[in-house]
Amino acid sequence: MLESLVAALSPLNLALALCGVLAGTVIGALPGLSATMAVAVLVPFTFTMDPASGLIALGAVYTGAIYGGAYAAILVNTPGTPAAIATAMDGFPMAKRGDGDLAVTLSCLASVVGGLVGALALLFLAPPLSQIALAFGPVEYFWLAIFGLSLIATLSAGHTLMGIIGGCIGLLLSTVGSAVVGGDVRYTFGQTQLLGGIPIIPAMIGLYCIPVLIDLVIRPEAHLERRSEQMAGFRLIEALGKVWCAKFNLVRSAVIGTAVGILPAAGGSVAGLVAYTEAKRTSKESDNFGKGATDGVIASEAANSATVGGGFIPTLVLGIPGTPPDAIILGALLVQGIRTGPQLFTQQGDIVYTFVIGLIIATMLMLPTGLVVGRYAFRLIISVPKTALAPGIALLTVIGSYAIEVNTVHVLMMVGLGLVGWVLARIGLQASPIVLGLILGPIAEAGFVQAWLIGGAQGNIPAMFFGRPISLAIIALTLLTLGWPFIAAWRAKRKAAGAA
Amino acid sequence: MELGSRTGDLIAAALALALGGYALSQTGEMSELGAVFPTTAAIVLILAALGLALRVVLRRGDGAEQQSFWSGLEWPRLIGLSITLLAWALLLKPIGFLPVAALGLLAVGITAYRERMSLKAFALHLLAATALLAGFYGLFALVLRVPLP
Repeated sequence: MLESLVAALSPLNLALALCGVLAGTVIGALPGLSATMAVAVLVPFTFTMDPASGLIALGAVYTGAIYGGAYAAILVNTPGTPAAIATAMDGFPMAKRGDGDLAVTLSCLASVVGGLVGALALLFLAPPLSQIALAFGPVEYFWLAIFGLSLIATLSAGHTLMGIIGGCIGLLLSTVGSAVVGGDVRYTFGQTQLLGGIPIIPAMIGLYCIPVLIDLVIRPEAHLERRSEQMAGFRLIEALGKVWCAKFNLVRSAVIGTAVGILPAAGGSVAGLVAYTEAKRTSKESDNFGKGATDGVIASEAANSATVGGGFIPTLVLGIPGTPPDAIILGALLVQGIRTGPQLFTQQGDIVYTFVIGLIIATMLMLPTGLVVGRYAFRLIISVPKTALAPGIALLTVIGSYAIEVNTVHVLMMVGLGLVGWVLARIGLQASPIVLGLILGPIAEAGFVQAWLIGGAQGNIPAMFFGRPISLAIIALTLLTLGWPFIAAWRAKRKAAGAA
Repeated sequence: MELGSRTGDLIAAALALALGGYALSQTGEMSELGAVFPTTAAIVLILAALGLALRVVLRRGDGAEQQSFWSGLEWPRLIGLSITLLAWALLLKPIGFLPVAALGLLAVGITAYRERMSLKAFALHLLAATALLAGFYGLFALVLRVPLP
């Protein structure tokens, strides 16, 4: 491993890690440019590189892009990547009240710690942890998606019915187009453009960004609060203090992110939301969540960055990509002649360990890079007048929703969903439950239908859904999540009665 | 910028009922497996909408209305921005990225315009918009090789 460390620290690999993190951070910060796109664009450049160097460059871009998504989430309430959805819930309220710089610094610190936990799990625990991915079948994915949907109850505390309505609207939107299993054509109104369904990224840009743009234009007040001392520094000491106080939340969220990252198709958005919910559930100040709680930003960012290392575990050990960028990196590995599998760490250990150590170095380089880029992004957003900021955001929404699949119809969908989203926000239906339903709907439906068919073939459908240990554990967690608001209210009532 | 909760809840309940009813009515044309998921989502949506409506009825008189549905809106700006965005999306393919983006940037800038600006400030804005457009065009078309219309 020492040789791998020396190889990873070569000037070329260090330069690749630094440039990769920087490029990934900028691309991730732009809504519509996903981590997948960032990695895909870079892949051809790595074919002529040494395998370990190419992998380091790809891993660095991926890590940077996942972190970069936090900027847009915090500063314009639009998650740069789906992984940053939970970051927007508290990051933007923090920015609105004048703590945008603190939120950006916190997200950087949490991302670095989360990324390191994920990378260390990849380094030391990859073979045993990869077995978790194999234990997950369609029914477990179905229950995992249901667990994700149950988070709506927690995310919309006090407005649970509104949250459920939003979640169901998202689920119904996810059924538009050809069915994932069976090929039924649903809710397309005879429009061929809707056969492919509602694309997630343009929908997310529309639902989050267009309402912000409209409010920016129709309201006279400034986009974000500005304090006189804010142009001075990173608020690093204050952020370090906050992170230290939230150390258990930080580590727990990173572990959650690593575990969720191991599960193929779950991804950073699920990890961020699960960690966020867990942070809210266990916090003594859970009422502050959604209003600018620092713990919310820390949980979301630590978890989504940890999915990078977690996602590489099944990719390298089993050849099963944990996330879409992992699938592209898997393709790059095959082109480089690297055969993934359980023996990879022993047979081609020099390449793999150099890559993993390179990933750790790239994650550490994210600290200075992220702080500096974040500082400039914050200063830019806070200093630019509305007459320049609003057109800039409009251009980003249009080009971001077009570029992901090179489709002008997606721009129209984005604008339409955005205008509807603004009206819905005015009547109290927030974007997050709708987006959550849209993301988790296909996972839940595919898992449900496949489990139903397998259970039917085995002649015991109930046993398929309720007879597997992992499923039962997820069901228990789901029930706990759904019941927690009531348990918390009962405990508070009992405590108040005791005090009286 | 939310409405008074009673009006908002009632509108949300009505919208959800209509959407759930429509979604449910379409499931008859689907296969059994294809209909399970939308049927479940539609039923839950309708039940939640009914629950919301019931809550509004039971809490009648609680809490004063803060504002009417359309109060506090700057209509010209709202309509101007909506039309600009829709036109931007519709004209992207027939006219092309650069001219539509230039017009779109100008139109959104005008809808956001509030305070008188000097000629110098106006020139700076134009320069910034040109730089922004050139930067994004370069990033997407030349670096990322995204074929822009």
